[in-house]
Amino acid sequence: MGSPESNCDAVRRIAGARLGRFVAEDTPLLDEPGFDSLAMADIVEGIEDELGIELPAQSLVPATFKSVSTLAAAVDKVVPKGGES
Amino acid sequence: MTSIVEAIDRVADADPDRTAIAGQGGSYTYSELRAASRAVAETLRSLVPPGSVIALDLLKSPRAILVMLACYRAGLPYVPLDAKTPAARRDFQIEDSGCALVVCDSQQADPTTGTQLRVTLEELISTTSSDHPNSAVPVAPDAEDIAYVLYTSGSTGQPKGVLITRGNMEAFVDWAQEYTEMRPDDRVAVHAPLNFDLPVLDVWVGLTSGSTVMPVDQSITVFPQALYEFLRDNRITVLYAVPSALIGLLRKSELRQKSLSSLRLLLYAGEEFHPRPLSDLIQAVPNAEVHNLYGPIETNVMTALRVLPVHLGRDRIPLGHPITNAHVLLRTEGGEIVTTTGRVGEILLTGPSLCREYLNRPDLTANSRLELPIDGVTHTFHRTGDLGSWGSDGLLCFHGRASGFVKTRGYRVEPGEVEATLSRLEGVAEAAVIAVPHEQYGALLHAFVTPESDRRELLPNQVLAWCRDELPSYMVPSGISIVSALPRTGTGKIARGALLAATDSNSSSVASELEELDGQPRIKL
Repeated sequence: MGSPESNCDAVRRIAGARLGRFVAEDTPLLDEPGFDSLAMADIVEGIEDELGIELPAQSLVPATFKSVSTLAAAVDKVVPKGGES
Repeated sequence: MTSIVEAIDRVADADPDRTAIAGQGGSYTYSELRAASRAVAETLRSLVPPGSVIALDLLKSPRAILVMLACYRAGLPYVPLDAKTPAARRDFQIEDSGCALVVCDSQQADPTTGTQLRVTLEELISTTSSDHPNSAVPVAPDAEDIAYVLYTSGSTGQPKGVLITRGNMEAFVDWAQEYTEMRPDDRVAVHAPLNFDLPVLDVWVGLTSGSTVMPVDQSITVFPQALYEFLRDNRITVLYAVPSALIGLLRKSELRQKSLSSLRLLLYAGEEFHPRPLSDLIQAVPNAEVHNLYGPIETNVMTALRVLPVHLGRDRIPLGHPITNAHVLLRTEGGEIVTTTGRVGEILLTGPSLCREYLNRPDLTANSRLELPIDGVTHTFHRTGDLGSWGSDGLLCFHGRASGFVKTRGYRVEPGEVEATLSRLEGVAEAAVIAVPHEQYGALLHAFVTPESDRRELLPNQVLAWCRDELPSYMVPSGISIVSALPRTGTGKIARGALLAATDSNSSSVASELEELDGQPRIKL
């Protein structure tokens, strides 16, 4: 395996798969066609499952989804469940 | 019957400074709303011939609601469009409705097709009525005139318009006002998009009751926590939403920890709410009464139930009792009307809010209706495609759908319309769309697509991107499988049961059967 994927890359990949199109770090997710409550929930679920974390409810607001970077920043704030010893 | 316009104007007389509508992009007191809606009504009447249809290509906002009221005041039917839906679908609705004028948000002022007059919200509101000499002609609309047109998914590949008369609308508002006991100190959220029927209650019952109507910005409705903060910060007292949204609120916001102390009335409709999540929700909002309202877009609400602990212990929440002046019949496949408890039949509905017809589709109207007598008087009933039975307590109970459309997140989708869209994609030979049951969303759509023989390289991503361009997001399949052939029943029909089983990864036997059929690994998004 290569070097581990950064949170930002993982978020970009998961969001892109759900939205069915390429998204860049600065893509405004809120304005993407098809970004609705289901897409939001799917992206959050994908991130939580793959990274083994839980995003707090307070982070699930429009500001977090301004771009891939802002969403990745919210992910960075959460300590991975598996990382706790 | 109380006229909606008269009732709203009475509030403006009695309490002119009370806030009528508040939200992003401004607010109106009742007296401002009366003055502004009169002015816009006069402008509209000067722009189009009497009775013309007005399309509203607008995001949900206080001003969009103002224009709806202005149309109603001017006797002009309005068609609210979903500003988030792809342009081609909006264009179809604009053409199909025969509208004379499109009112749009400024950023959508550039038409893709069509010859209709377009005017931006800004232009419409800033024009003064003194410019229009015709405006003195009084408007005397009839109860049979069309109030608004709502589009819903159509099995033939295009959406179909449902024509709702002023009489339908006023009868519904009269009933809902009495049922909800809405009052001036209520603060009513407008949660669902304006092109659905839920906001008919929020907006018109709210305004005729002198309440404050608060449209929830569409970007907020996507985020449960943002919605929670909106409801909390605005001290919302009445919320009407689909179960999917309420379950999102329950699971992905601070609702469970902090509740919503102002909420007194929580109404849901649009899809089944399973007892377990509904119990959790009721526990989270102990100050609120919870009601299940039932009826398709063609009839609006026809039965209602205040959900009590006794109902939560059942397998399914009952639909309740017919509302005032509504009639419900259950009809077996053999055409027999069910009179005994426990026996299942298709739910047939009639009442004063049964829509006039589908726009331009007499065939669909005829197929959706049955003439049946009640106490010797013949009524026209709407066939819902839903199954029900009478309980021993007299409550109408729900038994799922017999046929036709599926419900996903409260939205109604004809799989045939999605299939028709998929079939238009170059390289697609055939498509089948099935509904996969889902606890929170009611159902999710899964598409099975076969490529034309020379297009083996068709990828799920291409199919998904096409759907995103052509369909509103709730109609876009959540799963897409490319297969070389669709399984068939003995009579040659698509074996939808086998496809449904194939979406369940635990069902290996059917999955392998499908793999044999397609001869290549299935690809799932």
